[in-house]
Amino acid sequence: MFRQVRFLPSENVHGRLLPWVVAVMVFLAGLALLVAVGLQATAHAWHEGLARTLTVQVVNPDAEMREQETAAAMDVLTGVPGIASVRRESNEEVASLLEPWLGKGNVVADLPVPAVIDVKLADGAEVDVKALQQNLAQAAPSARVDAHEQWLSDLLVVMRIVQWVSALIVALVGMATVVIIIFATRAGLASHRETVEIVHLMGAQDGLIAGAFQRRFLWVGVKGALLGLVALAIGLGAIYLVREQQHGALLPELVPPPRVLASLLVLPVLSGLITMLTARFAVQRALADMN
Amino acid sequence: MIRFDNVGMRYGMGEEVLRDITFELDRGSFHFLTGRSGAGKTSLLKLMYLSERPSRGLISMMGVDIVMAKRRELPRLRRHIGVVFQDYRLLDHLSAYDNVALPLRISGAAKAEVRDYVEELLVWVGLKDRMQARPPTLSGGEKQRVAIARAVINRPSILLADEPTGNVDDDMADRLMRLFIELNRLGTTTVIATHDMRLVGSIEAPRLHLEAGDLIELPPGADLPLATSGLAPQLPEAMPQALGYTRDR
Ligand SMILES: Nc1ncnc2c1ncn2[C@@H]1O[C@H](COP(=O)(O)OP(=O)(O)OP(=O)(O)O)[C@@H](O)[C@H]1O
Ligand SMILES: [Mg+2]
Repeated sequence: MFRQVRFLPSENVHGRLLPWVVAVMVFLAGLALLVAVGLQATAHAWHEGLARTLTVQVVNPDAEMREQETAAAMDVLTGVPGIASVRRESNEEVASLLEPWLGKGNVVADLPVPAVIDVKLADGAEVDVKALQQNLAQAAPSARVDAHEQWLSDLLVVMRIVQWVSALIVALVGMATVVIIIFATRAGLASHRETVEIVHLMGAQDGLIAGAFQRRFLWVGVKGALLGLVALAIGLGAIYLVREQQHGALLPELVPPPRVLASLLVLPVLSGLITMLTARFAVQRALADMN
Repeated sequence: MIRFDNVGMRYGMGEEVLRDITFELDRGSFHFLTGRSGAGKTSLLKLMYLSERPSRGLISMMGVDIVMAKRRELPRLRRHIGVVFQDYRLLDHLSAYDNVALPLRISGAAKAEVRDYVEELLVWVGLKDRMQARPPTLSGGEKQRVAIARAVINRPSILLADEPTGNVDDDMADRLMRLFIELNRLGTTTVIATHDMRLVGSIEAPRLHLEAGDLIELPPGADLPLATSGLAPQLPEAMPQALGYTRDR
Protein backbone atom coordinates (compact mmCIF):
# COMPACT_ATOMS: atom_id res chain seq x y z
CA MET A 1 0.00 0.00 0.00
CA PHE A 2 1.28 3.46 0.85
CA ARG A 3 4.35 4.48 2.80
CA GLN A 4 3.82 5.30 6.44
CA VAL A 5 4.88 8.81 7.35
CA ARG A 6 4.29 10.09 10.86
CA PHE A 7 3.13 13.67 10.56
CA LEU A 8 0.07 13.97 12.81
CA PRO A 9 0.45 15.32 16.34
CA SER A 10 -0.27 12.94 19.18
CA GLU A 11 -3.84 12.56 20.35
CA ASN A 12 -5.72 15.44 22.00
CA VAL A 13 -8.43 15.10 24.63
CA HIS A 14 -11.21 14.34 22.13
CA GLY A 15 -9.08 11.62 20.64
CA ARG A 16 -8.43 10.04 24.01
CA LEU A 17 -12.14 9.95 24.81
CA LEU A 18 -13.08 8.28 21.58
CA PRO A 19 -12.11 4.70 22.54
CA TRP A 20 -14.47 4.98 25.52
CA VAL A 21 -17.34 5.91 23.25
CA VAL A 22 -16.53 2.90 21.10
CA ALA A 23 -16.32 0.81 24.28
CA VAL A 24 -19.90 1.72 25.22
CA MET A 25 -21.05 0.86 21.70
CA VAL A 26 -19.32 -2.51 21.76
CA PHE A 27 -20.70 -3.23 25.24
CA LEU A 28 -24.25 -2.66 23.97
CA ALA A 29 -23.67 -4.59 20.79
CA GLY A 30 -22.13 -7.45 22.74
CA LEU A 31 -25.07 -7.63 25.12
CA ALA A 32 -27.58 -7.61 22.28
CA LEU A 33 -25.54 -10.23 20.46
CA LEU A 34 -25.46 -12.49 23.52
CA VAL A 35 -29.22 -12.22 23.92
CA ALA A 36 -29.78 -13.02 20.25
CA VAL A 37 -27.37 -15.96 20.20
CA GLY A 38 -28.56 -17.28 23.55
CA LEU A 39 -32.20 -17.22 22.47
CA GLN A 40 -31.29 -18.88 19.21
CA ALA A 41 -29.80 -21.82 21.09
CA THR A 42 -32.74 -22.06 23.52
CA ALA A 43 -35.35 -21.82 20.79
CA HIS A 44 -33.55 -24.47 18.82
CA ALA A 45 -33.41 -26.85 21.77
CA TRP A 46 -37.09 -26.39 22.55
CA HIS A 47 -38.11 -26.82 19.01
CA GLU A 48 -36.09 -30.01 18.68
CA GLY A 49 -37.26 -31.41 22.01
CA LEU A 50 -40.91 -30.46 22.23
CA ALA A 51 -41.99 -30.38 18.64
CA ARG A 52 -40.99 -34.02 18.34
CA THR A 53 -43.51 -35.17 20.93
CA LEU A 54 -47.25 -35.26 21.46
CA THR A 55 -49.24 -36.15 24.55
CA VAL A 56 -52.60 -37.89 24.38
CA GLN A 57 -54.80 -37.93 27.47
CA VAL A 58 -57.77 -40.22 27.88
CA VAL A 59 -60.07 -38.62 30.41
CA ASN A 60 -63.06 -40.92 30.68
CA PRO A 61 -64.00 -40.95 34.43
CA ASP A 62 -65.01 -44.57 34.33
CA ALA A 63 -61.90 -46.63 34.99
CA GLU A 64 -62.89 -49.60 32.84
CA MET A 65 -63.98 -47.49 29.88
CA ARG A 66 -60.80 -45.50 30.26
CA GLU A 67 -58.66 -48.62 29.98
CA GLN A 68 -60.58 -49.73 26.87
CA GLU A 69 -60.31 -46.32 25.22
CA THR A 70 -56.64 -46.12 26.06
CA ALA A 71 -55.90 -49.45 24.46
CA ALA A 72 -57.90 -48.45 21.36
CA ALA A 73 -56.13 -45.10 21.17
CA MET A 74 -52.73 -46.81 21.40
CA ASP A 75 -53.73 -49.04 18.49
CA VAL A 76 -54.77 -46.10 16.36
CA LEU A 77 -51.64 -44.12 17.20
CA THR A 78 -49.33 -47.00 16.41
CA GLY A 79 -50.81 -47.20 12.92
CA VAL A 80 -50.32 -43.52 12.06
CA PRO A 81 -47.39 -42.93 9.68
CA GLY A 82 -44.75 -40.55 11.10
CA ILE A 83 -45.16 -41.72 14.67
CA ALA A 84 -42.01 -43.37 15.88
CA SER A 85 -43.07 -44.68 19.27
CA VAL A 86 -46.09 -44.80 21.56
CA ARG A 87 -45.77 -45.34 25.31
CA ARG A 88 -48.31 -45.28 28.05
CA GLU A 89 -47.16 -43.64 31.21
CA SER A 90 -47.65 -45.90 34.20
CA ASN A 91 -50.13 -44.88 36.90
CA GLU A 92 -47.20 -44.25 39.24
CA GLU A 93 -45.67 -41.78 36.79
CA VAL A 94 -48.95 -39.93 36.44
CA ALA A 95 -49.40 -39.94 40.17
CA SER A 96 -45.96 -38.44 40.66
CA LEU A 97 -46.95 -35.66 38.24
CA LEU A 98 -49.94 -34.89 40.44
CA GLU A 99 -48.21 -35.25 43.78
CA PRO A 100 -47.12 -31.64 44.07
CA TRP A 101 -50.80 -30.65 44.04
CA LEU A 102 -52.54 -33.50 45.74
CA GLY A 103 -49.93 -34.80 48.11
CA LYS A 104 -48.52 -38.30 48.48
CA GLY A 105 -51.11 -41.02 48.93
CA ASN A 106 -53.63 -43.16 47.08
CA VAL A 107 -54.08 -40.62 44.40
CA VAL A 108 -54.72 -43.07 41.60
CA ALA A 109 -57.08 -45.26 43.48
CA ASP A 110 -59.28 -42.43 44.78
CA LEU A 111 -59.39 -40.12 41.77
CA PRO A 112 -60.30 -40.62 38.13
CA VAL A 113 -56.79 -39.73 36.91
CA PRO A 114 -56.52 -39.57 33.12
CA ALA A 115 -54.35 -42.03 31.26
CA VAL A 116 -51.36 -40.35 29.61
CA ILE A 117 -49.79 -41.58 26.37
CA ASP A 118 -46.43 -40.18 25.24
CA VAL A 119 -46.05 -40.10 21.48
CA LYS A 120 -42.68 -39.52 19.79
CA LEU A 121 -42.64 -38.42 16.16
CA ALA A 122 -40.16 -39.73 13.63
CA ASP A 123 -37.41 -37.28 12.61
CA GLY A 124 -38.68 -34.82 10.06
CA ALA A 125 -42.22 -36.18 10.11
CA GLU A 126 -45.19 -33.83 10.16
CA VAL A 127 -48.36 -35.04 11.83
CA ASP A 128 -51.69 -33.37 11.21
CA VAL A 129 -53.00 -32.91 14.73
CA LYS A 130 -56.59 -32.18 13.68
CA ALA A 131 -56.82 -35.32 11.54
CA LEU A 132 -55.29 -37.32 14.37
CA GLN A 133 -57.88 -35.95 16.80
CA GLN A 134 -60.69 -37.00 14.45
CA ASN A 135 -59.20 -40.47 13.99
CA LEU A 136 -58.98 -40.92 17.72
CA ALA A 137 -62.50 -39.61 18.32
CA GLN A 138 -64.05 -42.78 16.88
CA ALA A 139 -61.89 -45.26 18.81
CA ALA A 140 -61.59 -43.26 22.03
CA PRO A 141 -64.15 -40.45 22.34
CA SER A 142 -62.56 -39.01 25.48
CA ALA A 143 -59.02 -38.82 24.05
CA ARG A 144 -57.45 -35.36 23.87
CA VAL A 145 -54.37 -34.56 21.81
CA ASP A 146 -52.00 -32.03 23.32
CA ALA A 147 -49.49 -30.98 20.66
CA HIS A 148 -47.54 -28.47 22.79
CA GLU A 149 -47.91 -26.58 19.60
CA GLN A 150 -49.84 -23.52 20.51
CA TRP A 151 -47.90 -22.26 23.47
CA LEU A 152 -44.64 -23.35 21.92
CA SER A 153 -45.22 -21.41 18.75
CA ASP A 154 -46.39 -18.40 20.76
CA LEU A 155 -43.18 -18.54 22.74
CA LEU A 156 -41.11 -19.00 19.62
CA VAL A 157 -42.71 -15.91 18.10
CA VAL A 158 -41.81 -13.89 21.18
CA MET A 159 -38.28 -15.21 21.01
CA ARG A 160 -37.98 -14.38 17.32
CA ILE A 161 -39.15 -10.84 18.04
CA VAL A 162 -36.60 -10.42 20.81
CA GLN A 163 -33.97 -11.76 18.45
CA TRP A 164 -34.91 -9.34 15.73
CA VAL A 165 -34.85 -6.48 18.18
CA SER A 166 -31.40 -7.58 19.32
CA ALA A 167 -30.17 -7.73 15.75
CA LEU A 168 -31.68 -4.30 15.16
CA ILE A 169 -29.82 -2.97 18.20
CA VAL A 170 -26.55 -4.38 16.87
CA ALA A 171 -27.21 -2.76 13.48
CA LEU A 172 -28.17 0.59 15.05
CA VAL A 173 -25.13 0.55 17.31
CA GLY A 174 -23.01 -0.16 14.24
CA MET A 175 -24.53 2.75 12.37
CA ALA A 176 -24.17 5.08 15.35
CA THR A 177 -20.51 4.09 15.54
CA VAL A 178 -20.03 4.90 11.87
CA VAL A 179 -21.61 8.32 12.34
CA ILE A 180 -19.54 9.05 15.45
CA ILE A 181 -16.36 8.06 13.64
CA ILE A 182 -17.27 10.21 10.65
CA PHE A 183 -17.69 13.20 12.95
CA ALA A 184 -14.51 12.39 14.82
CA THR A 185 -12.54 12.06 11.60
CA ARG A 186 -13.94 15.34 10.32
CA ALA A 187 -13.07 17.04 13.59
CA GLY A 188 -9.59 15.53 13.43
CA LEU A 189 -9.18 16.73 9.87
CA ALA A 190 -10.37 20.20 10.80
CA SER A 191 -8.02 20.54 13.74
CA HIS A 192 -5.11 19.22 11.68
CA ARG A 193 -6.18 21.08 8.56
CA GLU A 194 -2.97 23.09 8.26
CA THR A 195 -0.83 19.99 8.74
CA VAL A 196 -2.80 18.03 6.19
CA GLU A 197 -2.63 20.88 3.69
CA ILE A 198 1.13 21.26 4.00
CA VAL A 199 1.72 17.55 3.63
CA HIS A 200 -0.64 17.62 0.65
CA LEU A 201 1.32 20.49 -0.92
CA MET A 202 4.54 18.53 -0.44
CA GLY A 203 3.13 15.93 -2.78
CA ALA A 204 1.75 13.31 -0.40
CA GLN A 205 -0.90 11.18 -2.11
CA ASP A 206 -4.36 11.02 -0.60
CA GLY A 207 -3.66 7.42 0.35
CA LEU A 208 -0.68 8.39 2.47
CA ILE A 209 -2.63 11.07 4.31
CA ALA A 210 -5.67 8.83 4.75
CA GLY A 211 -3.33 6.10 5.96
CA ALA A 212 -2.19 8.18 8.90
CA PHE A 213 -5.77 8.75 10.04
CA GLN A 214 -6.74 5.19 9.21
CA ARG A 215 -4.07 3.68 11.46
CA ARG A 216 -5.07 5.97 14.26
CA PHE A 217 -8.74 5.07 14.01
CA LEU A 218 -8.05 1.36 13.62
CA TRP A 219 -6.39 1.55 17.01
CA VAL A 220 -9.31 3.55 18.42
CA GLY A 221 -11.72 0.85 17.22
CA VAL A 222 -9.74 -2.10 18.54
CA LYS A 223 -8.88 -0.49 21.86
CA GLY A 224 -12.46 0.67 22.38
CA ALA A 225 -13.82 -2.78 21.58
CA LEU A 226 -11.44 -4.48 24.01
CA LEU A 227 -12.48 -2.05 26.74
CA GLY A 228 -16.12 -2.79 25.94
CA LEU A 229 -15.53 -6.54 26.12
CA VAL A 230 -13.82 -6.19 29.49
CA ALA A 231 -16.87 -4.28 30.76
CA LEU A 232 -19.12 -7.00 29.34
CA ALA A 233 -17.08 -9.71 31.03
CA ILE A 234 -17.35 -7.91 34.35
CA GLY A 235 -21.10 -7.55 33.88
CA LEU A 236 -21.56 -11.24 33.01
CA GLY A 237 -19.36 -12.25 35.93
CA ALA A 238 -21.57 -10.26 38.29
CA ILE A 239 -24.74 -11.84 36.90
CA TYR A 240 -23.15 -15.26 37.23
CA LEU A 241 -22.28 -14.70 40.88
CA VAL A 242 -25.76 -13.42 41.74
CA ARG A 243 -27.29 -16.44 39.97
CA GLU A 244 -25.16 -18.81 41.99
CA GLN A 245 -26.45 -17.24 45.19
CA GLN A 246 -30.07 -17.42 44.06
CA HIS A 247 -29.54 -20.98 42.81
CA GLY A 248 -30.49 -19.84 39.35
CA ALA A 249 -34.08 -19.09 40.21
CA LEU A 250 -34.83 -15.74 38.59
CA LEU A 251 -32.05 -14.58 36.33
CA PRO A 252 -31.99 -16.11 32.89
CA GLU A 253 -29.07 -18.08 31.56
CA LEU A 254 -27.13 -15.09 30.23
CA VAL A 255 -23.69 -16.56 30.70
CA PRO A 256 -23.22 -18.27 27.37
CA PRO A 257 -21.23 -21.35 26.45
CA PRO A 258 -17.54 -20.81 25.52
CA ARG A 259 -18.29 -21.18 21.82
CA VAL A 260 -20.62 -18.16 21.95
CA LEU A 261 -18.18 -16.22 24.13
CA ALA A 262 -15.46 -16.83 21.56
CA SER A 263 -17.73 -15.44 18.86
CA LEU A 264 -17.68 -12.12 20.76
CA LEU A 265 -14.08 -11.78 19.64
CA VAL A 266 -15.36 -10.76 16.21
CA LEU A 267 -16.40 -7.48 17.83
CA PRO A 268 -12.90 -5.94 18.10
CA VAL A 269 -12.17 -6.98 14.52
CA LEU A 270 -15.49 -5.60 13.32
CA SER A 271 -15.11 -2.42 15.35
CA GLY A 272 -11.57 -1.85 14.08
CA LEU A 273 -12.68 -2.40 10.49
CA ILE A 274 -15.62 -0.02 10.88
CA THR A 275 -13.56 2.78 12.44
CA MET A 276 -10.69 2.32 10.01
CA LEU A 277 -12.71 2.20 6.81
CA THR A 278 -14.96 5.04 7.95
CA ALA A 279 -11.95 7.23 8.69
CA ARG A 280 -10.39 6.39 5.34
CA PHE A 281 -13.59 7.20 3.50
CA ALA A 282 -14.12 10.48 5.38
CA VAL A 283 -10.54 11.66 4.83
CA GLN A 284 -10.61 10.87 1.15
CA ARG A 285 -13.88 12.72 0.75
CA ALA A 286 -12.40 15.77 2.49
CA LEU A 287 -9.16 15.65 0.49
CA ALA A 288 -11.06 15.56 -2.76
CA ASP A 289 -12.01 19.17 -2.03
CA MET A 290 -8.36 20.19 -2.03
CA ASN A 291 -6.84 20.97 -5.39
CA MET B 1 9.62 24.40 -17.41
CA ILE B 2 6.94 26.84 -16.34
CA ARG B 3 4.55 28.33 -18.87
CA PHE B 4 1.66 30.69 -18.19
CA ASP B 5 -0.67 31.65 -21.02
CA ASN B 6 -3.27 34.37 -20.45
CA VAL B 7 -3.81 33.30 -16.89
CA GLY B 8 -6.32 35.04 -14.68
CA MET B 9 -6.99 34.27 -11.05
CA ARG B 10 -9.54 35.30 -8.47
CA TYR B 11 -10.32 34.22 -4.92
CA GLY B 12 -13.87 32.96 -4.73
CA MET B 13 -16.23 35.44 -6.38
CA GLY B 14 -13.87 38.40 -5.88
CA GLU B 15 -12.13 40.55 -8.47
CA GLU B 16 -9.23 39.08 -10.42
CA VAL B 17 -6.01 39.53 -8.44
CA LEU B 18 -3.97 38.39 -11.46
CA ARG B 19 -4.82 39.37 -15.03
CA ASP B 20 -3.60 38.13 -18.41
CA ILE B 21 -0.39 36.68 -17.04
CA THR B 22 1.75 35.30 -19.86
CA PHE B 23 5.39 34.21 -19.47
CA GLU B 24 7.68 31.25 -19.85
CA LEU B 25 10.59 30.20 -17.62
CA ASP B 26 13.25 27.88 -19.04
CA ARG B 27 14.66 24.91 -17.20
CA GLY B 28 17.43 26.06 -14.88
CA SER B 29 16.53 29.75 -15.06
CA PHE B 30 16.66 32.13 -12.07
CA HIS B 31 14.11 34.94 -11.60
CA PHE B 32 13.15 37.44 -8.98
CA LEU B 33 9.46 38.13 -8.55
CA THR B 34 8.90 41.68 -7.35
CA GLY B 35 5.97 43.97 -6.73
CA ARG B 36 4.35 45.99 -4.01
CA SER B 37 2.61 44.44 -1.08
CA GLY B 38 -0.69 43.11 -2.37
CA ALA B 39 0.43 43.07 -6.01
CA GLY B 40 -0.17 39.34 -6.27
CA LYS B 41 3.27 37.73 -5.79
CA THR B 42 2.07 35.08 -3.36
CA SER B 43 -0.99 34.42 -5.53
CA LEU B 44 1.21 33.82 -8.57
CA LEU B 45 3.39 31.43 -6.58
CA LYS B 46 0.29 29.57 -5.35
CA LEU B 47 -0.60 28.86 -8.95
CA MET B 48 2.90 27.55 -9.54
CA TYR B 49 2.95 25.25 -6.52
CA LEU B 50 -0.47 23.90 -7.47
CA SER B 51 -2.29 25.15 -4.43
CA GLU B 52 -4.81 27.18 -6.43
CA ARG B 53 -6.18 26.67 -9.90
CA PRO B 54 -6.41 29.58 -12.35
CA SER B 55 -9.85 30.95 -13.15
CA ARG B 56 -8.84 31.16 -16.78
CA GLY B 57 -5.86 30.56 -19.07
CA LEU B 58 -3.33 27.77 -19.40
CA ILE B 59 -0.57 26.74 -17.03
CA SER B 60 2.01 24.13 -17.86
CA MET B 61 4.47 22.89 -15.24
CA MET B 62 7.29 20.54 -16.25
CA GLY B 63 5.42 19.90 -19.48
CA VAL B 64 2.14 18.96 -17.80
CA ASP B 65 -0.97 21.01 -18.50
CA ILE B 66 -2.16 21.40 -14.92
CA VAL B 67 -5.60 22.72 -15.81
CA MET B 68 -6.42 19.54 -17.70
CA ALA B 69 -4.40 17.21 -15.49
CA LYS B 70 -6.20 14.64 -13.39
CA ARG B 71 -6.11 15.27 -9.67
CA ARG B 72 -4.11 12.13 -8.97
CA GLU B 73 -1.32 13.24 -11.33
CA LEU B 74 -0.57 16.33 -9.24
CA PRO B 75 1.21 14.81 -6.21
CA ARG B 76 4.05 13.54 -8.39
CA LEU B 77 4.54 17.08 -9.78
CA ARG B 78 4.39 18.61 -6.30
CA ARG B 79 7.18 16.37 -5.09
CA HIS B 80 9.44 18.12 -7.60
CA ILE B 81 8.53 21.59 -6.38
CA GLY B 82 10.17 23.05 -3.28
CA VAL B 83 8.35 25.92 -1.61
CA VAL B 84 9.43 28.44 1.02
CA PHE B 85 6.16 29.90 2.26
CA GLN B 86 6.00 33.56 3.23
CA ASP B 87 4.65 32.53 6.65
CA TYR B 88 6.93 29.43 6.80
CA ARG B 89 4.08 26.99 7.49
CA LEU B 90 6.19 24.68 9.61
CA LEU B 91 4.47 21.89 11.53
CA ASP B 92 4.55 23.11 15.13
CA HIS B 93 4.35 19.65 16.70
CA LEU B 94 7.40 18.35 14.83
CA SER B 95 11.01 19.20 15.62
CA ALA B 96 13.05 21.30 13.19
CA TYR B 97 14.71 18.05 12.17
CA ASP B 98 11.44 16.26 11.43
CA ASN B 99 10.08 19.28 9.57
CA VAL B 100 13.05 19.25 7.22
CA ALA B 101 12.89 15.45 6.90
CA LEU B 102 9.22 15.45 5.91
CA PRO B 103 9.59 15.92 2.12
CA LEU B 104 12.21 13.16 2.02
CA ARG B 105 9.98 10.80 3.98
CA ILE B 106 7.00 11.55 1.76
CA SER B 107 9.15 10.69 -1.27
CA GLY B 108 10.15 7.44 0.44
CA ALA B 109 13.83 8.19 1.07
CA ALA B 110 15.86 5.64 3.06
CA LYS B 111 16.39 6.31 6.77
CA ALA B 112 20.16 6.76 6.54
CA GLU B 113 19.75 9.12 3.63
CA VAL B 114 17.27 11.21 5.60
CA ARG B 115 19.57 11.44 8.62
CA ASP B 116 22.67 12.43 6.66
CA TYR B 117 21.05 15.02 4.42
CA VAL B 118 18.88 16.65 7.07
CA GLU B 119 21.68 17.03 9.58
CA GLU B 120 24.09 18.38 7.03
CA LEU B 121 21.65 20.96 5.74
CA LEU B 122 20.57 22.13 9.19
CA VAL B 123 24.22 22.56 10.16
CA TRP B 124 24.78 24.55 6.99
CA VAL B 125 21.99 27.02 7.75
CA GLY B 126 23.38 27.46 11.28
CA LEU B 127 20.84 25.39 13.23
CA LYS B 128 23.20 22.70 14.51
CA ASP B 129 22.08 23.27 18.11
CA ARG B 130 18.36 23.74 17.36
CA MET B 131 17.64 20.54 15.46
CA GLN B 132 15.35 19.09 18.11
CA ALA B 133 13.62 22.40 18.87
CA ARG B 134 9.98 22.84 17.89
CA PRO B 135 9.08 25.80 15.69
CA PRO B 136 7.20 27.75 18.40
CA THR B 137 10.47 27.99 20.34
CA LEU B 138 12.44 29.26 17.34
CA SER B 139 13.06 32.89 16.41
CA GLY B 140 11.58 34.25 13.19
CA GLY B 141 14.90 33.97 11.37
CA GLU B 142 15.46 30.44 12.65
CA LYS B 143 12.02 29.38 11.45
CA GLN B 144 12.77 30.90 8.09
CA ARG B 145 15.96 28.86 7.79
CA VAL B 146 14.12 25.66 8.72
CA ALA B 147 11.55 26.49 6.04
CA ILE B 148 14.31 27.02 3.48
CA ALA B 149 16.06 23.79 4.43
CA ARG B 150 12.74 21.94 4.05
CA ALA B 151 12.19 23.46 0.60
CA VAL B 152 15.59 22.46 -0.80
CA ILE B 153 16.15 19.10 0.95
CA ASN B 154 14.58 17.15 -1.92
CA ARG B 155 16.72 18.86 -4.59
CA PRO B 156 13.56 20.08 -6.33
CA SER B 157 13.32 20.74 -10.06
CA ILE B 158 11.56 24.01 -9.24
CA LEU B 159 12.19 26.17 -6.18
CA LEU B 160 9.63 28.82 -5.27
CA ALA B 161 10.60 31.08 -2.37
CA ASP B 162 8.25 33.73 -1.02
CA GLU B 163 10.21 36.46 0.76
CA PRO B 164 12.77 33.92 2.00
CA THR B 165 15.16 36.40 3.62
CA GLY B 166 12.70 38.80 5.22
CA ASN B 167 13.62 37.85 8.76
CA VAL B 168 17.40 37.38 8.71
CA ASP B 169 20.30 39.84 8.77
CA ASP B 170 22.19 40.71 5.59
CA ASP B 171 24.99 38.20 6.18
CA MET B 172 22.58 35.31 6.65
CA ALA B 173 20.51 36.56 3.69
CA ASP B 174 23.61 36.42 1.49
CA ARG B 175 24.46 32.96 2.77
CA LEU B 176 20.94 31.69 1.99
CA MET B 177 21.09 33.30 -1.46
CA ARG B 178 24.30 31.36 -2.10
CA LEU B 179 22.35 28.19 -1.29
CA PHE B 180 19.67 29.10 -3.85
CA ILE B 181 22.26 29.97 -6.45
CA GLU B 182 24.09 26.70 -5.92
CA LEU B 183 20.84 24.76 -6.25
CA ASN B 184 20.08 26.75 -9.41
CA ARG B 185 23.54 25.94 -10.79
CA LEU B 186 22.68 22.26 -10.28
CA GLY B 187 19.65 22.75 -12.52
CA THR B 188 16.79 23.90 -10.32
CA THR B 189 14.48 26.45 -11.90
CA THR B 190 14.24 29.19 -9.28
CA VAL B 191 11.76 31.98 -8.56
CA ILE B 192 12.31 34.24 -5.55
CA ALA B 193 9.62 36.69 -4.56
CA THR B 194 10.89 39.66 -2.58
CA HIS B 195 10.62 43.38 -2.03
CA ASP B 196 14.18 43.52 -0.77
CA MET B 197 15.86 45.69 -3.44
CA ARG B 198 19.28 45.12 -1.90
CA LEU B 199 18.83 41.42 -2.55
CA VAL B 200 17.58 42.02 -6.10
CA GLY B 201 20.59 44.23 -6.76
CA SER B 202 23.04 41.67 -5.42
CA ILE B 203 22.56 39.23 -8.29
CA GLU B 204 22.31 39.67 -12.02
CA ALA B 205 18.95 38.05 -12.66
CA PRO B 206 15.87 38.86 -14.73
CA ARG B 207 12.73 39.99 -12.90
CA LEU B 208 9.07 39.25 -13.11
CA HIS B 209 7.42 42.37 -11.80
CA LEU B 210 3.79 42.49 -10.73
CA GLU B 211 1.99 45.78 -10.78
CA ALA B 212 -1.46 45.40 -9.24
CA GLY B 213 -2.14 42.08 -10.94
CA ASP B 214 -0.38 42.78 -14.27
CA LEU B 215 2.98 41.19 -15.11
CA ILE B 216 5.98 43.01 -16.56
CA GLU B 217 9.15 41.11 -17.53
CA LEU B 218 12.39 43.00 -16.89
CA PRO B 219 15.95 42.08 -17.96
CA PRO B 220 18.73 41.92 -15.34
CA GLY B 221 19.54 45.26 -13.74
CA ALA B 222 16.69 47.13 -15.42
CA ASP B 223 14.63 49.69 -13.53
CA LEU B 224 10.90 49.94 -13.81
CA PRO B 225 9.62 52.08 -16.67
CA LEU B 226 8.44 55.41 -15.24
CA ALA B 227 4.96 54.94 -16.59
CA THR B 228 4.30 52.03 -14.27
CA SER B 229 6.34 53.03 -11.27
CA GLY B 230 3.93 55.90 -10.65
CA LEU B 231 1.01 53.58 -9.97
CA ALA B 232 1.41 53.70 -6.20
CA PRO B 233 -1.93 53.52 -4.46
CA GLN B 234 -3.07 56.82 -2.96
CA LEU B 235 -2.42 56.60 0.76
CA PRO B 236 -3.49 59.31 3.23
CA GLU B 237 -0.72 61.72 4.33
CA ALA B 238 -2.09 62.70 7.73
CA MET B 239 -1.29 60.52 10.75
CA PRO B 240 -4.16 58.27 11.81
CA GLN B 241 -6.52 59.90 14.28
CA ALA B 242 -6.50 56.66 16.22
CA LEU B 243 -3.00 57.43 17.52
CA GLY B 244 -4.39 60.39 19.44
CA TYR B 245 -7.39 58.51 20.69
CA THR B 246 -7.54 58.40 24.47
CA ARG B 247 -10.12 57.13 26.85
CA ASP B 248 -10.28 56.64 30.58
CA ARG B 249 -9.24 53.10 31.37
N1 LIG C 1 -7.08 33.88 0.43
C1 LIG C 1 -7.42 35.06 -0.10
N2 LIG C 1 -8.71 35.37 -0.27
C2 LIG C 1 -9.09 36.54 -0.81
N3 LIG C 1 -8.23 37.47 -1.25
C3 LIG C 1 -6.91 37.21 -1.12
C4 LIG C 1 -6.44 36.01 -0.54
N4 LIG C 1 -5.10 36.03 -0.54
C5 LIG C 1 -4.74 37.19 -1.09
N5 LIG C 1 -5.80 37.93 -1.45
C6 LIG C 1 -5.81 39.22 -2.09
O1 LIG C 1 -5.12 39.08 -3.33
C7 LIG C 1 -4.30 40.19 -3.59
C8 LIG C 1 -2.88 39.73 -3.83
O2 LIG C 1 -2.40 39.14 -2.64
P1 LIG C 1 -0.98 38.45 -2.56
O3 LIG C 1 -0.89 37.76 -1.25
O4 LIG C 1 -0.78 37.63 -3.77
O5 LIG C 1 0.00 39.71 -2.57
P2 LIG C 1 1.57 39.76 -2.37
O6 LIG C 1 2.11 40.39 -3.58
O7 LIG C 1 2.09 38.43 -2.02
O8 LIG C 1 1.70 40.74 -1.13
P3 LIG C 1 2.85 40.77 0.02
O9 LIG C 1 4.06 41.33 -0.57
O10 LIG C 1 2.25 41.67 1.06
O11 LIG C 1 3.01 39.37 0.50
C9 LIG C 1 -4.43 41.11 -2.38
O12 LIG C 1 -5.32 42.14 -2.72
C10 LIG C 1 -5.01 40.24 -1.31
O13 LIG C 1 -5.85 41.00 -0.48
MG1 LIG D 1 2.91 37.61 -0.36
